[in-house]
Amino acid sequence: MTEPSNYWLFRPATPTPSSPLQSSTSVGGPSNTSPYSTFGFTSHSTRNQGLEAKRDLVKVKVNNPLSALSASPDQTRVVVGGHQVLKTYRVSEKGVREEANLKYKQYIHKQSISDVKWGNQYSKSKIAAASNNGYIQLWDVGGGKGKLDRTIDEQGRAINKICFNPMQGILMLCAFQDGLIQMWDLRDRVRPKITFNGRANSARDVQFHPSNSNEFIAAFDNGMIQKWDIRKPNNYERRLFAHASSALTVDWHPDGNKVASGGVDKIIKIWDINSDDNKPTEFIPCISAVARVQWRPNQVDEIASCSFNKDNRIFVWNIKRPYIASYFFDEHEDIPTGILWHDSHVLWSCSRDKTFIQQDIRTNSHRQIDLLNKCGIGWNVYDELAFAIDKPAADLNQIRRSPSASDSGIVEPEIRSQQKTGVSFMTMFDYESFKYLAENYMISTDDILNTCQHNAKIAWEAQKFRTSQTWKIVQLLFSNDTLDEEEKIITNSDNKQVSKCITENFYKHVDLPKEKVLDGMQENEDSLSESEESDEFVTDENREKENVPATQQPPPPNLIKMTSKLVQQTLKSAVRPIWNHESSMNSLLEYYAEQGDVQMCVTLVLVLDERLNVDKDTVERWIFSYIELLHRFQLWIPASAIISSCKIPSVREKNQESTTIYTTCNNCFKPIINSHNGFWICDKCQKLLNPCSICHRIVKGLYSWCQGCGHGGHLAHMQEWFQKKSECPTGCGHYCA
Amino acid sequence: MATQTIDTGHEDLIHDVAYDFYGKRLATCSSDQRIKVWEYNVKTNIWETVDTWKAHDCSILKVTWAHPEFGQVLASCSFDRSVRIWEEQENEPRNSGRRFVLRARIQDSLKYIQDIEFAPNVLGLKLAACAADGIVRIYEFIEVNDLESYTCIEEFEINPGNLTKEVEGHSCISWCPSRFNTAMMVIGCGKEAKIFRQDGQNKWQAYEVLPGHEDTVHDVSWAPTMGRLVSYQLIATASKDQHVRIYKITSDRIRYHAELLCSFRDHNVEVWRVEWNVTGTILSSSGDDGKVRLWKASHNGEWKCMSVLSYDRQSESSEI
Repeated sequence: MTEPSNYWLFRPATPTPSSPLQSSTSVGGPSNTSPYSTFGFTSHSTRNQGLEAKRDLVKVKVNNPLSALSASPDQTRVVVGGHQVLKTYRVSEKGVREEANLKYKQYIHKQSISDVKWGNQYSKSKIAAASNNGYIQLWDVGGGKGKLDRTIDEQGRAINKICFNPMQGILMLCAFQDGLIQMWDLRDRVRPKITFNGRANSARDVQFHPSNSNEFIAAFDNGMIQKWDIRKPNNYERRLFAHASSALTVDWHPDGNKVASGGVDKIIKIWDINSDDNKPTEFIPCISAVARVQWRPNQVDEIASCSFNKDNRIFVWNIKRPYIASYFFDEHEDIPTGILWHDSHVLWSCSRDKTFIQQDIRTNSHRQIDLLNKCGIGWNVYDELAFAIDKPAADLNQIRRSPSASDSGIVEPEIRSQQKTGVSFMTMFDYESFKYLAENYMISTDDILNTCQHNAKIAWEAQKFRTSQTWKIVQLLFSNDTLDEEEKIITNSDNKQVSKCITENFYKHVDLPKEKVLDGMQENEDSLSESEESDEFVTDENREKENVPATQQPPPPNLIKMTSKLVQQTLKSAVRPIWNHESSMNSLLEYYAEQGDVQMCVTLVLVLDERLNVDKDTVERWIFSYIELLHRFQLWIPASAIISSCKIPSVREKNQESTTIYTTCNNCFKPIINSHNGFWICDKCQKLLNPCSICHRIVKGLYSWCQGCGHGGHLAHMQEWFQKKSECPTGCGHYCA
Repeated sequence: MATQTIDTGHEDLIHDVAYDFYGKRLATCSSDQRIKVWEYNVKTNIWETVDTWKAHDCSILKVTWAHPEFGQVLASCSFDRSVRIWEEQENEPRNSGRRFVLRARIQDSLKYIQDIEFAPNVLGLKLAACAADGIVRIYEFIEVNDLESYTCIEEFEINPGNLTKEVEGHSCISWCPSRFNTAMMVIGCGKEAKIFRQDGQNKWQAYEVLPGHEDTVHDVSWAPTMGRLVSYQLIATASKDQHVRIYKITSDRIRYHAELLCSFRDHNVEVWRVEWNVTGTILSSSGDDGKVRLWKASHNGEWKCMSVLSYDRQSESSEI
């Protein structure tokens, strides 16, 4: 009976243990004791939750795209239907075996099956197959081989869905494309028992209540879902405007109180069918239109869905966490068209990719949450760190593992996000002093010494004491005079006490033994500004007082690192220094660059200019970085000053960008092109542009105009006019003054 | 290190936070399919939303701002397989849900888009997007005034001929922010991270491999070279193998060399994100341990954990 050509069986490398309970239940007869034993929900799975054997992933290939599937009441067999195909399979732990290939040439050939349903109770060996061209075929598969029981000819009216009554299996509902719903009593072979008219366009789905055989629910193309009582066939009992566009599917929750509906508007909505509330109790926004939904057995809040278009995945949602799917299956290669829970873990599905698949949520599914990162971090230019961090994973694992799930190795997903979001302010970057320096540094000058002096003062005022010292040292390095004269320059300056202090400091540090200096370095290996933060603010008044503690502070090692050797040598030799600027300046720049302090680098480069021997590319890079930084801080004026004072052509060009203003003639609205007339006369209409309203000549210089009527002219002329008149000089009638 | 928490009002996980160029605005994106843009109110000292809107049909994984010279433009990518471009409408009232309008909806990928990043602004308005199947697409918006017209100027596979399955693959992308190098990207895909450049025929090709990854690379970040000497660049990676790695990229004008500078296993769980600060001097990393760690180079060039921001205390424990 098995056809090797279309028989696929995939087994995982590790065999899964099979439980004896599973075998007894899956072979056992139809379970009719429980009111939930309908439409793929089996009562036995209630008892055996977490103990069911894991099922292998099985893929069965047929020749044509499939559109629907249905399971036999005992869950051992499945019927799949599609384009010119209708087959039943026996499904067990061992695999899938084809049982019956139901062919009926006359009808099957040209039709595509829209829905198949396996009956129950009375109709437990019956299969109903509905087609798009208006036939319902009832097959009897009691004897293994299928036999056509009857064909109901609906005169070409397309049937979207069929449904057997779960309690007796005698009644069968058919939802038609033309909006009617018919109920057949299978004992009557001639005509339908009742026809319900929902007065809406196409009926897309219909389903009996899981335990009350008098009630059913239907979904319509206009987005409505209606609840009917078959004893009141004239009108629906309740209707809900459920979806913005077509409602495609409905599914009763096994408890009989909740209904899930899905539609083209990409939302699964959960309704409390017994309340009067017209709003859904929960909703799940999906990626694409929802074609099928089905509640997961024994998991009160979980529901599976598949897409109407675009998406090949089958999602399993928890209605308490609507935004992140708990699980998804990604086995199909085309749109799944039918989904069916075999038990609470095993899902059967068929698809347009011509396959029927059995998949186990414990082994074949993926958890969306595992693919998503649970944290986000972002920096801004002020060195503030925005973050969103989740509760540590270790804690989550303890909470997540519910006792029942731990047996099967499934970690239950967290329902709510417990993230914390915030912004952390680092103290490493001091925007205020950066801004102060950017705005007050002197950058272009011929007098290096005075500029260094000035910049040192500015740095000191910005509480950048070390930077200030650096400027002092640079000043020292580039003074061509002797040390004595250097001293003189400093004492002559306005902040002589400060300078003196720095100079004193400088010498003191130089005198320190080398090891000490190195120790200091290691202690202070954090960033410059950080340690500066600890320094107290020095006001002009108490600077003198501050001098003493300042000199007792540990040496600023970075400076010493760069200059101590040099100075020591100089002092030892006790001759006039032959300053070797290059190496110390380069290491100085390198240090600041490494610290990310481009401000210092750029300012030094601009001030010292040709006296430095720095790679042009590097300088360009620094300047561009600094300009970007200034732009980020919205310090446009300093940025522009940097651009103007820079001698590198590519930087200077930045100020030449976007300086063109395009004008059009105010008469004919043609663009003005600079021709022999300049920009004063329009070439097209040969008129002056905005001439003075009084003298009718071109206005070069200040043009004053009325905001009300738009007329104006030379400032002097207008002043003169409006001293006497209040009306517009053009005679437009506007009272301008 | 002071910390201010924000009650974002997002209904599910936030997957990304991004500051704008000026650092004044913050965009957050979440699994609840919404993007929120925040501004700090200096008077009240609280973060206020500029707008909140439903931006996608599934979890939004990344949000990023374009350079302001192109306007107030945001790009977002989602599990719904699309990339969307949003532009602010100044005339719409705040918190109206209409302030950011959809300019482009890019639905080229068959798998979900895991990472997007705008190219450095000197290259124009370009956006690179990498999908879960390992395909990178680069889009160019030629007319800034007309964001609706974009062209996919480049499409290449990270591992040619080897498309990954959606659930297995993970790819991430980061442009080289320097304006002086040729356009380069570091792309992480699966267990590898590679540097991509255009070859002689302007085709994007993988060149140097960043060695040492033992599991999926979750995030890559190319450090801004602000100030740093031309001689080298830094790239950081976050990996499922619990490591944060920093690579030093040196160039001898012909080839680039990637050398593992250091790797840290302090998180001891999967590390999901790495992000450099604007000057490229501090690296932040975060993982499943609910901590953000900050890394900084000390004087002798050795990278060290500077401080830790943890979920429980939200306070620093400075270790430097």
